[in-house]
Amino acid sequence: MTSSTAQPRILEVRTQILKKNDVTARSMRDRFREAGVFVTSLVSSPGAGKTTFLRELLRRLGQTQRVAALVGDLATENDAKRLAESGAPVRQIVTGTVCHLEADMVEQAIGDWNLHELDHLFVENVGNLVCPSSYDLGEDLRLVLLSTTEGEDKPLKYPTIFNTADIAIITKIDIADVVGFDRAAALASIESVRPGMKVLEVSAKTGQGMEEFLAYLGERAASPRPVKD
Amino acid sequence: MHELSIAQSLVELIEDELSRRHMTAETSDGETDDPSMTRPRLGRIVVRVGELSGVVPEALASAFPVAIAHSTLRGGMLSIEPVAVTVFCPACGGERELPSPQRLRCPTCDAPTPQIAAGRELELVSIEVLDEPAQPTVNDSSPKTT
Repeated sequence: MTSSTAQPRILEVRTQILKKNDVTARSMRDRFREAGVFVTSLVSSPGAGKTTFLRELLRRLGQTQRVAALVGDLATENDAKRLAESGAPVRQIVTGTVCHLEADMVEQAIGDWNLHELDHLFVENVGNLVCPSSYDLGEDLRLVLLSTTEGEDKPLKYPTIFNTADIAIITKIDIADVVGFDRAAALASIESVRPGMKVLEVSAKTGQGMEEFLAYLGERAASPRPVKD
Repeated sequence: MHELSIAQSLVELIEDELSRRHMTAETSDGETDDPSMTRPRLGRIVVRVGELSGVVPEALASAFPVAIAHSTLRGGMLSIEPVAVTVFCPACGGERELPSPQRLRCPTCDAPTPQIAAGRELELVSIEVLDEPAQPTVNDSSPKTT
């Protein structure tokens, strides 16, 4: 036991504030690799079409691969029900008042699932372009979705999320003309905040771009991932 | 807004760091005594927040007193050092600080600069300890500082 000291002391720490989350994410990433499952997370604003895109993805990919999904939502289980229509195993993570997923929520939701029996696991984050950007979930690939009904300058408003994502997916491309979507402006915004970012345009409704995305996903899953020593 | 979550993580990290340095006083049976008597009183808490960390400094500054009030810590004043985005320019071959994260291009030669060297920081730099806990028997009528 120390007694009172008169001099203030400065403790040098230099530690990530989200260290706990990062440690959990790293241990899960190791677990995913060991099990041979490729993990993809999806982030977007509310209503950008994550669930519809993912349902179509699960339906198509599920014909040849073993797929499953986790979906975060503030209050309801509706998204899980919609995703389950694809036939894939789906679990809901109700986050309550928390506006994003954290690594331990994903870990708990996986629970007793045997990851060795999966090829692909998808994690749909809560609809939010700000908060999810700070949290590593142990995923191999992060998709950011932007719909044709949103402002083309959204990437400029939320540069961080575009910087933490690996690929941008423009959804609802089938209604681009109707809603007056300015494709060049959207692509310029993305290129401005993240030079060289890959962009794909899809419509889960008509199927446009879905096969192209599946080819990209297959390529990413097959390419060697950096392994920690 | 996730700054309250971030502030809570920060407070937990401070508690962990103090524990690790044996700066929390426990009674002999392992139970923490009245925290205001046994915890050190904190001064400046320095954190670095990058422009691409996803955290808004002002929101974190507002959330921090709420998080610390619900903890066992005493005192503690948050001091945020913002970190601008710095990129590596492949054309100039050097690091350049950007005026805004909205345009990742070299301010000197306008080459695209996707490689980020700084600006993602979200770290606890240091904790100032004003006084360390005395024995729980010490009389201290006003342990809470403002």
